[in-house]
Amino acid sequence: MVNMLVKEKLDKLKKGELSAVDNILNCIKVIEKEDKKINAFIHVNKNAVEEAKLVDEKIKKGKAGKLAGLAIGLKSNINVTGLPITCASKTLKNYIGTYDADVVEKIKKEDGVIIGMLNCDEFACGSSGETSAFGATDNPAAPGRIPGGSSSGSAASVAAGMCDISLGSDTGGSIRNPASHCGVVGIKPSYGRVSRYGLIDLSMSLDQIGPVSKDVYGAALMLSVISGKSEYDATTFDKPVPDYTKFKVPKKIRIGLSDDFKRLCSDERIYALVEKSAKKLAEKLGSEVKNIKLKYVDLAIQTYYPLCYVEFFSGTRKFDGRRYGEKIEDACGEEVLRRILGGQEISKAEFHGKYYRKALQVKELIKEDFEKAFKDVDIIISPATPVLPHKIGTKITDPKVMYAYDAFTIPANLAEICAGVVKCGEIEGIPVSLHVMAPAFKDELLFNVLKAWEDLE
Amino acid sequence: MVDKEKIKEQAKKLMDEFVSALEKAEEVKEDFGVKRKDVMRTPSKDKYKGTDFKERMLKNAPKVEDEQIVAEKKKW
Repeated sequence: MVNMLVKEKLDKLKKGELSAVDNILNCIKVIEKEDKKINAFIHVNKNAVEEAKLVDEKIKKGKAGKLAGLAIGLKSNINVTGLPITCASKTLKNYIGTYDADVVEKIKKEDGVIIGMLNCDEFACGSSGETSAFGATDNPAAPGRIPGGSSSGSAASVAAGMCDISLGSDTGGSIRNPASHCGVVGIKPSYGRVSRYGLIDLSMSLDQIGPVSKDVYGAALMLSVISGKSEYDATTFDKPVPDYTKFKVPKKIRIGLSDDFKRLCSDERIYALVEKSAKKLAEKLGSEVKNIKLKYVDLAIQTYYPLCYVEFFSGTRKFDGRRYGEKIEDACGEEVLRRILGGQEISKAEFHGKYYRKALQVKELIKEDFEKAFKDVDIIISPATPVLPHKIGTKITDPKVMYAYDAFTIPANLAEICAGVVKCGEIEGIPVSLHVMAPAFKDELLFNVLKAWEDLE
Repeated sequence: MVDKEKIKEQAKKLMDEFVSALEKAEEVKEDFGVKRKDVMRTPSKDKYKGTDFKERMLKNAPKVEDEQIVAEKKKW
């Protein structure tokens, strides 16, 4: 059961060969057995079994939704009525969600069962899962190593079979980085594809909610459910939402690799494996591989952080301890404090135009880089991370070392395109993934490519 | 004990380093930002009207009197 893929499990649930209650109980059993060492969950929903009973009744009547009885885990920065929304911080350790995020409403409507709230880096500030006030999460695919972050629990819970699909948030790679380290599928949808209403934001111009699943089908199913225009999020687009699970083989597409990414890869073994896999995929699809130029991609980290610091500082002004929680500056950890104080400093009027505006200007250049590249190729492939995940507890004093984990994933957020990861092999027994990027609102093409790779493997 | 001044200095130094690297980008774009036709949230209905949202919200507040959140005045 733990290793059952989403497609297979959903078929069994819909046919009545597996009840929603049994599915949830099985997941809870795995959580009870494994989570003491993995620490993927901050809170398990005590009502999950009762909620599953209601889904079983709907299944019997043939009225169940697309997620009928699947166990869904949520990153702890997504609001759910009645569950603790801690952002993995002491700031919100006693905060109980007062409303459902748009994505949660949609999941409930399609009969997914919320199994609990997942661990993550504090306020999504981190790339390793180690900044959580609730302790670090372990990597089920490489025990003793970080699972990546910031959606550490979202990836680890799926990899360990504690839930079927999870949601994370991705501002600079926070879904794709941990999904890659844990060997599961993770998607950052195009900016504006999924409503952020109810997401406690890290950087509002870059954040997107997206799915993590063991298989491409599960991620595609979840994105089909949570996508669409919301009148509560003005950044969502009114574009049709396709059924992403209706995969088509993307024949003769043009695949882009870039030496500009190769230069940023500290571990040559990772790039070699990804390059080899991309060529294997191209051969299968009858595609050509082209080397593309991405002139400003080496400035992605330097562009991202000034934007992130300023927007995070602005977004956290509501955590003043008056209406709920603690005052954030008094309760948070070092990385969160660094971003708040740094953001406050560079937001000062005397620095007008020097930091945030400059970063916005370069963001636009990076976006143009990708728009030009996508005239020559249909998709771009890079590694997901430039190095293998470090051992938990490794002392990293320079923030730049941690920030470098997201060198390949940040550009997709800056360019507002869609991207996803799928495992392509292992190095030293640790998962390594293909990171596939597609133009904005070509999420369907992205899934088709990821599925083609999955079927090849 | 966290040294806030030290963290602030470190963050500023980091931002200076990053922004200095951005000078490499010689081209300057003045037209940027996320473009949307409708930038305001315009919900067609108040989805929380008639729900117990207020009670739930007040349960999170540190101090409540007569269904109002009580907060200190002087520090605002």
